[in-house]
Amino acid sequence: MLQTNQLEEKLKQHFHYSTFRKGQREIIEDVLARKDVLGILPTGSGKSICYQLPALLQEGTTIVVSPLISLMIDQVKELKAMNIKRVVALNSFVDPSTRRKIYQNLHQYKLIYVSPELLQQNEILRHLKQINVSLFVVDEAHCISQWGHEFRPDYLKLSNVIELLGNPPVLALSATATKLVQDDIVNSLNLPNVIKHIYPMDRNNIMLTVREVMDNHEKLEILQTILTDYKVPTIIYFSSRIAAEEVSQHLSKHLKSHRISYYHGGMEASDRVAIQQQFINNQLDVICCTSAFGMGINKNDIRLVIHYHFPSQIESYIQEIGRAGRDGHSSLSMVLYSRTDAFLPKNMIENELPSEEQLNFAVRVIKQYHENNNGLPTDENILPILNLNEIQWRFLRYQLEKHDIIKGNMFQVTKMNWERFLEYVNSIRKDRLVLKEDKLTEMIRWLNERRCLRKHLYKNFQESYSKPIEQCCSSCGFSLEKWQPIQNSSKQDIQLNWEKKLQKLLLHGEIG
Amino acid sequence: MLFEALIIKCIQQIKLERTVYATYHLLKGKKSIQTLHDAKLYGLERYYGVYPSLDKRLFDSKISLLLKCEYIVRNSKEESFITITTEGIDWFNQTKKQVPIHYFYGHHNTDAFFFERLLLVIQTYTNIKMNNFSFIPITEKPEITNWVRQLYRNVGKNPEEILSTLYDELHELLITFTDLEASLLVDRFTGYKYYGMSVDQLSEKYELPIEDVPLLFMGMSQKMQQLIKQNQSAYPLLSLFIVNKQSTALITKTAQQTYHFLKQGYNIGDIARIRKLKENTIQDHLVEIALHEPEFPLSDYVTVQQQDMILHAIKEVGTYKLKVIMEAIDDTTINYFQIRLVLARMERGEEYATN
Repeated sequence: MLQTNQLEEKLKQHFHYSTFRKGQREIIEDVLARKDVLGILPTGSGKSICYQLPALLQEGTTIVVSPLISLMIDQVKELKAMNIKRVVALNSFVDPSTRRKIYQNLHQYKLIYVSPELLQQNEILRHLKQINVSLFVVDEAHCISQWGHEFRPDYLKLSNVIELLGNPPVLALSATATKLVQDDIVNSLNLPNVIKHIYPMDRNNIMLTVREVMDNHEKLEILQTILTDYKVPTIIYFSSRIAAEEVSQHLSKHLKSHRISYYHGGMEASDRVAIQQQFINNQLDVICCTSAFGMGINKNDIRLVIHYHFPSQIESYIQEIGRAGRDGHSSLSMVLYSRTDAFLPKNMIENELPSEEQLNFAVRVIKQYHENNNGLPTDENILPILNLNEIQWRFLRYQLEKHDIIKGNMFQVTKMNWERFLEYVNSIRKDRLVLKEDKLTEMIRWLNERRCLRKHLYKNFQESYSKPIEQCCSSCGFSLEKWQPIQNSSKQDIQLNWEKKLQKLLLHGEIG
Repeated sequence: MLFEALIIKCIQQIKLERTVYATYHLLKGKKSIQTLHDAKLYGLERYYGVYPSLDKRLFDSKISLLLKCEYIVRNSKEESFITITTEGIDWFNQTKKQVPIHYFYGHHNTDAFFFERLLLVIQTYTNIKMNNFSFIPITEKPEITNWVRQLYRNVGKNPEEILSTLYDELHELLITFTDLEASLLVDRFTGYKYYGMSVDQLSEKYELPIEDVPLLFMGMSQKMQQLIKQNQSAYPLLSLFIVNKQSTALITKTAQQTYHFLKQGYNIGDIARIRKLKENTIQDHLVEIALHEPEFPLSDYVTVQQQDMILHAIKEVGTYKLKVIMEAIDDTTINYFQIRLVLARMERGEEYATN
């Protein structure tokens, strides 16, 4: 086993960090000792190092199950940029022929990122069985829990996969998991001897404020005022792509001294990378975005996170504000809350589950396929046929699989009581709806909390919290005037003509 | 406005002989024999594939707009056929002075990867110069990244030298463009700790319609290549960025295979049997080859006499519609395949269409 300082050397050598952050070393040491580990680390504390470093130090291959394809792709890009080339991301965006080529050479990779959906396919499992898996990582492990805020049915099947691969050591990671969810993770993955590393998620350098407003007009006014007073790296979150674009354009027009842009999942990948990198390089001051922005962003000096719309659950809120102040300096979270906003997340929740009518229709269509002795169309083709979106179909497909009605796209049963199945699925649907609505209610209750916001934000996750370094929250007497964050002398866009700019870019090496 | 001008130009040339989607496929660069044929037939090769990311909804919305302005009208009999109005011609003649529609030189004359190579070379060398070897490349297409790696190995490990040559050559090129165009391009470049602007940002900054930004880049890329080729000795470095000079790149893979057999002396029937394809398909391949390959032996398939007859008929009916041409030919031995071959070889285009 490696000595302590040797671990640090390796960290420096591969990732150019000179010290570990809180929790990283403890987790890595247990992982290298081939123990099963549950790690709960706050957002932005460098969770990925906990498996990336062991992957490089150990013989064999590390498998990382990750639910977010874009995050997976970003991580592979970053690793390759750091000259760590033996990594690959496998997901439905990789076309089958390329995938097959990768399968032939699986043993060459140190690190394989894979989506949970793909892990259900026999083809990849057959190939994975033949290589030496040194570590099995379940990222965003809260997805395994029905009580979690992002339940992913495919995660429930991971314990079978782990068994199939000969029970390699497991590392389950999450940034937001209540005690209930932590228990679910350990039980579902079947890890009786797990070692838990749970770190508190409260951030003592982020002030928590909620500002109640009448309408969107007032929100815009507040945004203009606060951005004028504080020119600091800022993220503004929205619940819709259109709103993010519109407000971004409005602010650009009215705040000429600021460089403002927007970011959402509907943009081309190359444009998304451009905006992200501009923000990291301080070419942009303000990003108006949906929740798609921020995952895996390495920027330490974000000072201000504003929610133009509040998220539909406490867990998302904690994650999103966690992007502020990673350098430990004073930062501010501000939620602009109007009572009429509540219908927005409610709509989103309803979109995530099929309605009763949708379920009726979809099950009727599936029944038809069954009676005609046909298999089901592929996942891509079935959505318009069943009139469901991807998340809704994932929900229904899981129910079909759970009852052994289908495997892949083939029916496993000859006789089937579809009426009873529909009734059952409908009851599950209602339960999930209630759960999500409860989460929303909890969020709204927090927004209306008159007692300490800090205490009540973290109460379901941990016993206590550390004393804030500055002001606490808007319930504990917050005054904006007293906030004096570090204002980087942010680069002004000097309007160069193209010749000067080309000169600077190519001959002087740096612009601005 | 550049986009609208391109649409009008295509509709003007094609007249009522194809549906409006022929224009869509042409601008998007659909690799079908029909679209490639259209491009050649109507003298629109310059505009073939200038907008690969073109979205059908965007195209439809522009067509509605142009209909509303009465620059174009639908045919009274056939809704999907569209023709240009006199107002449209006036508008186009006005507009073409303001937009650089003359920058386009066509896919067959230019290398589609030139611009991306340029962007990645700038990003790579500016970073190497600052000793930063870990950056996220603006593109991951192997055609581009492998080429840049090769350049690094074969030509330049000295970033200062490369960048200063690049500056001189780029400067020389860019002064031939308008200030707006040059600024637009330079703002797109990514360097050390500095990321270029997205299409949305550029369209906002320069107050350009969003669809014109990629079109301008395409036009500038093609124009730059033309300038470089005309004076290679002035652009020793940038000349290397133009790799694909051969028009055969336009021929589909399957047609290339047919061409391979053809050159070995097999006839259509043989090739169909060997490749287990229908003879009709092989004929399609031959038309495709005839379109792009100057050495195609036309008289092996159509006698000189037959060629004259077909050309005469085309002139007489004044259209490229196969059926109409066929009806104007008395000789019953001539078939559609032969007419298509002659059409493919014809010195066609502007002179007919502008009559």
